[in-house]
Amino acid sequence: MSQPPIQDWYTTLQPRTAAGRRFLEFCKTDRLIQQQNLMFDSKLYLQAVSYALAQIDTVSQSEQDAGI
Amino acid sequence: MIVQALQAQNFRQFLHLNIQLIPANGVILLVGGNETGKSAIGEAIVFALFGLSDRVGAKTLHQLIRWGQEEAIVQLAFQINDKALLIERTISTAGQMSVVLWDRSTGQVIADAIQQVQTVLQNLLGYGHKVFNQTFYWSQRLTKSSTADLEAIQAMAGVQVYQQVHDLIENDTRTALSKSEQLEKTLQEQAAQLKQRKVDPLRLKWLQETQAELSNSQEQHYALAEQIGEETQHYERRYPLYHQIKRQVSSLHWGAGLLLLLMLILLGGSLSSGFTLWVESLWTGASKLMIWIALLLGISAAVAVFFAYRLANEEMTPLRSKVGLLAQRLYTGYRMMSVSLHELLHPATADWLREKQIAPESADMLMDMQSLAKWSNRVENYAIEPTDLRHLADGLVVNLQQRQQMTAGLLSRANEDIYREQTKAQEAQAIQQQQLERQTVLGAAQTQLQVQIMAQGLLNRAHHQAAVRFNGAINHSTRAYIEAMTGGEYQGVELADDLQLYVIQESNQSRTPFKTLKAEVQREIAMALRLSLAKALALRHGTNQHSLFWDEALLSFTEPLLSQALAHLNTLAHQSTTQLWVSLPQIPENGKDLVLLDCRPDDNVLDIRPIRLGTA
Repeated sequence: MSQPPIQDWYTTLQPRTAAGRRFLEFCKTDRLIQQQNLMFDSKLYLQAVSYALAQIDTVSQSEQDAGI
Repeated sequence: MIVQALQAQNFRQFLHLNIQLIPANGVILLVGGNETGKSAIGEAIVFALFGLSDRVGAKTLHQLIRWGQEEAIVQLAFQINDKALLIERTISTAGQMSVVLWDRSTGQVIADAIQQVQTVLQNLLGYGHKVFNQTFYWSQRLTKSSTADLEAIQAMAGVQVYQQVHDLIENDTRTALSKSEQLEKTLQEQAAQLKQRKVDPLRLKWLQETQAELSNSQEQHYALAEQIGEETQHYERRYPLYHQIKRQVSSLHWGAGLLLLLMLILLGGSLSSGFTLWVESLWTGASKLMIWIALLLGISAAVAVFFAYRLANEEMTPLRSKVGLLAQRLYTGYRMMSVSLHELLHPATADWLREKQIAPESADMLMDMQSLAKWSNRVENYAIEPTDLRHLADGLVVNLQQRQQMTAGLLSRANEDIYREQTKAQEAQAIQQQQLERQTVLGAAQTQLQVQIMAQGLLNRAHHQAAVRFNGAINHSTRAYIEAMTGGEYQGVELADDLQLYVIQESNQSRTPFKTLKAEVQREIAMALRLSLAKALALRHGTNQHSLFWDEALLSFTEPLLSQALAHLNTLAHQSTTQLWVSLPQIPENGKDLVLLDCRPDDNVLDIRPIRLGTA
């Protein structure tokens, strides 16, 4: 399955909080690892990231955590 | 960031607050009874830096103004690395806030707008109000919370959000799973319903053919009964006419025969020589006259035969032909009524009659063909008296009508069967449509479930990464703080992948879940972690100076642990350039080398200088 360029994929999501941004940064790396798996489904992964990001943005409000 | 001096006017209960010469390192004890303003000092620091308060909301900050005054002013002198700064923040009763940030070394204003000051401070400190609250500032409000310690640690580690989202998604997943299961169950139920409503297209076709044949049979019986009734009436009307013509024909035949006889006699006489001589003797030329008369008689006979033929051919034959139709219908009616409906109809339709458990008509209810045979030829010759024929026809018509009514009843049942089959087919179609819709919904729910499961995996991995980072950031510096705070009982903490925080006890090599510890031990560990994390945060931003404010955080500590902990903390704070404000209701038993700020306001004025305990 052909994957869209990471940069394109990444810019489709707009985190609203620091926790969301940290999570998305993590996903950038995580995606590279996950897509080594032959069964990796890029569309499903993007949906999962989008879904989790929306939840994180909702929960973490606008201010950032310490995030050590 | 190190606090160097604090001044305030009309802030909370203070008419005037002035604390100067605050030491940069070590424990600073704020000691005083209730309502002496210990908490207000911490609040003043938070308000000066961030324009917020942990006690009142952002929209009710005017509540920080001393009762009856127009505005409150707080000035905070502080240092970040080698930068000496002064911030002054004012709040009016109308909620108007102003703020100015100066560089104390040059006396120049760095920023004088709220947003601008916030941005500059964020850059200088490396964190905002929330992080300050989570790490550097322990509000008295948290002292009363049972979950504050674990939540605070999770927030510090940046995993609180993962924990909350994990719970949310788990809830969503449960809902989606339940929805999927419900849908699958409904689909199974519908499949069973569909099985019950399984439509056999051949059966419907068979029923429709049965319906058509019954309808045809009903019409046939009805039409035949009507036609026989009408034809019988015609028979009754034609009967006298036919017999009148018949008599005329017969008379003509008789007349012709008589004429022929006379002609033969005359011809016979004219051929006899004796008779001819005798007649000629009477009247000369009589023999010739006889021949002429004989010819005339012959011609008359021929004319009579001709008329008789014409009457028979043109009048009687059509009448016979018409009655022939009646005879044929009578024959058909008898033939139809001489066998049961089961035999009369197509075998497939008879199967339906058997399915409906309709018994064949008994033999005594059927017509006898032999009785018709006696009548058949006679009908065609108008040889039956009209009353006799009426009797015969009426009997047949009654039977045909009964059969027609019976067929109408059967037709109605066949229609019901067809309606049932069609309804079943429509219901099956509706169920199939619902199944399709539900399958679409199920597909979407299952995809959502996959998304949620994958999101959980992602969050677990993100949490793991945060946990690794957290464990790495605190482990090298936490041990001393934990030992100091727990009297050496515990040595470390570890944030595990299961989102649990474990406390490490080296003496028995155990890992104890944080939340199972006693509340006071949780507090000890939480405060140790705050020290460790504050240091890590400060270091991350290029400074080893930082200031923490603990408002009654050690209220649960009893002696001698309190004195021991404070002594250890003081040593560690000096080593790591930490300024640790600790508010307590009274001076600990052994406060040697600690710095004391004695909170005993005089008429709401607190103007104090630090005193080093044990050295006076």
